[in-house]
Amino acid sequence: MRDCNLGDLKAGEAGCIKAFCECEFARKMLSMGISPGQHLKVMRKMPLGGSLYVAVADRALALRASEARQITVTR
Amino acid sequence: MDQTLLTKIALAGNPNSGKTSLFNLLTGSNQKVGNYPGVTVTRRTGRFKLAGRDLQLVDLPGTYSLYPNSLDERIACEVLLQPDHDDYPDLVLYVADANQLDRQLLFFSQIQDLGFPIVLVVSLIDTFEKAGHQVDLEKLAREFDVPVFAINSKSSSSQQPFLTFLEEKLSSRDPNKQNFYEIPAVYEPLLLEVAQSNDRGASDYLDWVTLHHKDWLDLPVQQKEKLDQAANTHSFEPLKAQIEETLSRLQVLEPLAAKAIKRNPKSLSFSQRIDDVVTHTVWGPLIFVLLMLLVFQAIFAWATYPMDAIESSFAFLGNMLSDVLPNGWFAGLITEGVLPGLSGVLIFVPQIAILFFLIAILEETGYMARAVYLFDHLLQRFGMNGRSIVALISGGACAIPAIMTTRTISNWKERLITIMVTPFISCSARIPVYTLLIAFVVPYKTVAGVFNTQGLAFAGLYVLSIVTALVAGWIFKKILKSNTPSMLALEMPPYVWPDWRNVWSTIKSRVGAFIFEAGKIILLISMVLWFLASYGPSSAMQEAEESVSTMELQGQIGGQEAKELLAARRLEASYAGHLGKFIEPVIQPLGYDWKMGIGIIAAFAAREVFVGTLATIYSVGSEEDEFRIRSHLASQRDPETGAAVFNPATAMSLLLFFVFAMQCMSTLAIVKEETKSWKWPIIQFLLMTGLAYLVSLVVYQAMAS
Repeated sequence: MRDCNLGDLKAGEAGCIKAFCECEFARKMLSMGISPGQHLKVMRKMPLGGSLYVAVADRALALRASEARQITVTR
Repeated sequence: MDQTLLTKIALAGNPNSGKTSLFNLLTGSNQKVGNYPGVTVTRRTGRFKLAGRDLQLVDLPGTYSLYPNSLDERIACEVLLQPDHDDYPDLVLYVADANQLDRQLLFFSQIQDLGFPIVLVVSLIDTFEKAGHQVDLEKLAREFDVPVFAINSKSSSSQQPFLTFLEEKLSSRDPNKQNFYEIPAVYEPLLLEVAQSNDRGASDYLDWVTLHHKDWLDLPVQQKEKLDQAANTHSFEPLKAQIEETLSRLQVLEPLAAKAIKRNPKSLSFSQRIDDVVTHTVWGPLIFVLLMLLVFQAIFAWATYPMDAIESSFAFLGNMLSDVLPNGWFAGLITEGVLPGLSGVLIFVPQIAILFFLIAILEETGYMARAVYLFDHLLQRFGMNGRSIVALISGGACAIPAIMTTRTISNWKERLITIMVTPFISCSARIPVYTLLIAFVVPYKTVAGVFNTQGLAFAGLYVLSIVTALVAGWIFKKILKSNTPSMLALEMPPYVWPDWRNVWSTIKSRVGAFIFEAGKIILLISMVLWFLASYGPSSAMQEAEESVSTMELQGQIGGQEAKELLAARRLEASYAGHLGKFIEPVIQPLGYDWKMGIGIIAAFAAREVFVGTLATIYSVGSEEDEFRIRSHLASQRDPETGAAVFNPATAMSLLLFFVFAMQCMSTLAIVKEETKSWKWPIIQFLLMTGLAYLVSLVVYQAMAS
């Protein structure tokens, strides 16, 4: 069990959302029903610091690398 | 509830909740699409009958929460938070996708806490059950204390059962609802003060949300001052409170929903398997490019037939009318001003319709969200958003429908940049000009067996236009300020079959908006252009006519030749001709004479008009084929020096001018329409044309010396 940010996960790695930053992005994530405690998995990443394709519960989400860094996950 | 008061109903729900399908199901063809005042957020309203009474239905923009993250969401909140708003509903129909039911209830709970009578509509129930999941609708209704109705996916459902349900529920319900969120006690002193800011005795929760949005809601000055004061004295931190509230709501809602929903844990995601290929690092972009080539091909190839039909029927109508109408200014106005103007508006309709048909399918199926995932990072560097890719690519056919696709970009800065740079991409109207002029610059030679020099030059112009668009985007990114944070955080919905009703209503609304909004401006400018090209100072016009008839009388020329010469002389004597001569000193350094000046002015109606105008002014006859026009132009000599007028330097300079310059009134009209101000089309015109002037000047001077 180790905390890191979502941006650190490699494609194929999974984790559990621990917390968000206190920012507008967090508000948006929560509004979409994505909240701490949920499991997620980085399905794939676009190359060169591109977007992340993240599966949260049974949903698919596109996140920017900068956005992924705002999410703390427990591996 | 008092039935006589029920007149307005709002459809609310998350994006991709199936809201629009319900809207189209209820209102059918009885709908109106416009904009909310002053912004380009689409406002869709419709009417339907219930128990013999007319009801108005408003389709609110898809929204996740009363704390908005985009302009669209903000508009939805304004409607719900301002009782004096035109669309303020008497009843809310909240649509939630069965497959996402547990996560789409946040906004529902907020609307209920505002005190609205509300009905929960669970959509896509059939696909949900097909996947092996179950939902107990009665339990759901009990847990959430709300009437619940389930509808099937898309077009397969019918209107009547829902109407029956609505009628029944409406006649028997009490508006006293549970609150899903208790505002924490720490905010009590603040709330007390806030409650004094208005005299309408609003619910606590309405007061609370109004406080959060005091900076952009349309509030009386006094109320706003009081709210500002209250927020200051209690050092209120809105974002923190919003996050607290949202978290707390989720904690209440999730267990409630869980009681009614049973999920089949084994259901394999079909969409995930498609995405293994479609969002693959290599295959993904490749598939996208192939799809876009198909779209491009469709706009190009399929649209030609209806476009030709429009053109020839207008030509037929023009001929007929000029036979019927008495000769004079009125006949001229109709056949050369109004008809070409109308035709110039309608000519774009096939392209717009076909593009939006295909785009709507890609949106409906859920593919577009994947395209955004693929291209967002790349386009971010150039100040744009993943969604901009559609505009940039369709700009290769025509900038007008392309610019109309930018509405889905929620960040204003990214949307504006996309609108500003899309016209740089070489559109199909530039092709006739390119093909005419390239031959003067590059001699035809075969390269490496397959390619030819002219084809390569042609491709080079396209590459140049794309690079320019990207560089311009990069520069705009540095210059423009933005007060809204740019976010991707995009849900990629499961793939579904498109709802054809939605596709159809998208096409209808976009075509309608173009004809009735941008169309007015295009018609007006085209009449002005007609006037400039067919009228002139009467003495000059008379002289032109006399000189030709004298030559005809003396037997120097005759028949067709005289007609062509007359057209040339008249154009020269017209206001447009004078304008061409007037700007000659300005365009001379670029290597153009006044005749090309007239061509450039006329090309403002549409770039391809340039070729026809040159043909007229050099009296070739604008009906001639390109080959004859070109050889005729090639034989033109400067009367003083005897040098060829269309030398490589001049042709190159003209080509580059057409690559960069903003020469399309229809594009400017649609930019005005999409940005809701004349500021941006004017800036766009000055920047593009200024750049064109500069590049052509440098290249001509370098090549000519």
